Amino acid sequence: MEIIIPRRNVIWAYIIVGFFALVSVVTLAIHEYYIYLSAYLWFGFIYGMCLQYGRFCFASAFRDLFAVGVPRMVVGIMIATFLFAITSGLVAATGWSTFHPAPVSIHSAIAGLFFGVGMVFAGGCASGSLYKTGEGNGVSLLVILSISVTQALFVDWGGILNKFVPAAWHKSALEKGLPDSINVGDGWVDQYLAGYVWNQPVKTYAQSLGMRDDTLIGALLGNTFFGVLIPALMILTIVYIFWVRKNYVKKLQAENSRSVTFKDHLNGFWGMIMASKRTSIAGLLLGIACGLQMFVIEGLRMKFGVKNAGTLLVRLGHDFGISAKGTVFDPGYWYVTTQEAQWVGWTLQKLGMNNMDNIYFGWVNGIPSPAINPADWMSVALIGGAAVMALLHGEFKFKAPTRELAFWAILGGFFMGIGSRLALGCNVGAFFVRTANGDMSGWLFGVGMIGGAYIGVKIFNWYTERKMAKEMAGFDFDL
Amino acid sequence: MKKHLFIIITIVIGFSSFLLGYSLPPFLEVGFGDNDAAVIDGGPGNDDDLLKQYQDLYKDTEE
Repeated sequence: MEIIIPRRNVIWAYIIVGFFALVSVVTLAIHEYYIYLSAYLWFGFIYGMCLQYGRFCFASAFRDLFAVGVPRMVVGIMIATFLFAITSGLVAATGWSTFHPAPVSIHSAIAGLFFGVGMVFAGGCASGSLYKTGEGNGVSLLVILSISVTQALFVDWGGILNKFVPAAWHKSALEKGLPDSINVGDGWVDQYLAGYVWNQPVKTYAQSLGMRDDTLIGALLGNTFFGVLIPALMILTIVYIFWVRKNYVKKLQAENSRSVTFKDHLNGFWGMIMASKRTSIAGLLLGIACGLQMFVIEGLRMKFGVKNAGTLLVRLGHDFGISAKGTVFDPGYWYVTTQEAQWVGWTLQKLGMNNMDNIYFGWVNGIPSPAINPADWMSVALIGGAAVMALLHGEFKFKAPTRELAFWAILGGFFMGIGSRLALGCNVGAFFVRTANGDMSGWLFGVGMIGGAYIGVKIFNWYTERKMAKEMAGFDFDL
Repeated sequence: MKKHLFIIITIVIGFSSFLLGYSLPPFLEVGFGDNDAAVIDGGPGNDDDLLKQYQDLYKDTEE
């Protein structure tokens, strides 16, 4: 039965698409360089549509698994990661991938732990909160605000946090030879980055097997097969054994009372995979879109003779908030949290706080105005794309947060913000994209995130049971 | 609903295809797998020059 969609939903969907189309056409008419920002915009829009369609949320995935034993979304995410890895591998093999692996060490797992706890508290991961905001969810909007503010403050925070910086990090950070405008000796994150993270090895599975990332064999065999398929199959097997097998065997034995064979288990495993079709399709489309975005961005960089959007912004006369090395955040693929930190960083800078003396903003990402920040265009369009899908499926509804949900959203956003900065990315940038591209730090973050989600579910259950017990104690039963 | 979704997907594909078409000529010009040379040829020089240029820019802003 087809759902009847109110006419106003359809009108709003066209208004949103029309607005983005108008922005693209008008800015292109002003200057050719703005097409670079439009590229981010339209791919962001596609990501939003895919996320909403596939209900692609890591928090829901692990909460459903650990709290109620439903594996559908976790399985979907694993399959989506593998499908994305295939498209990423093909792009990498052409030599045009914009992906850069991150340093590998235990810090990724610790960061994942923070992030995992946070996403369960908040009821949505970084990407999930964006698409849920597009569905009109006020709690998700609060989560985004909390992630953004936490990151922007955390990256500049020195003071008492400086006391927790090991002397070796401080010394190593000072030796990096950063310009005077970057106060590298003050600020916990600065010294963590320059004194610790930058000293860690950067490796992909292909490189560790002696292959090159930009060859077909390195990308597809080294990174996709060994780096994604094998670990994903291991996780899927664990999920099948601990969460699916018992009920499946019970059902089989009830239907025909005979012993279960290995072939039955293979059928059960396949059935588990096929139950997650919608998330998998979304993952495949996300993967194709990410690959195409890499092509488009690299092509535009060549066309305009630049390596980073910062150069284009300066040429256009927007030199406020460009980093000391002339760059702005311009990943060339899907990313979520850094642009969220940037808009708060920009606001705080405008309010008089100096945010350009730290590595994160002042040396690497900059804080350009959100109006001309490429990655911000992507996030805004992502919310728009999700809103269009929600409107056209009758799933859009404004939901104001209650005081209790607001508390959890802010607390969860805080933990996710900390985790994102420690890992240099969120569930998208530090897990989904890195894992799919064979970056060894991706699974480390993933393991931490799963552990964090488990702890988060346990804390949340404890809180809920305690609250219910208190409420029940208020009732006076006559039995 | 399906009709409207189809129209919107067509608009999105239209813009994405335009972007792909716009960024394709540089690939055809330089061939696949050799982007570094292309970027530097059309760019503002090498990385060191670029770095100095922006450090100077930062100084100018402060003065």
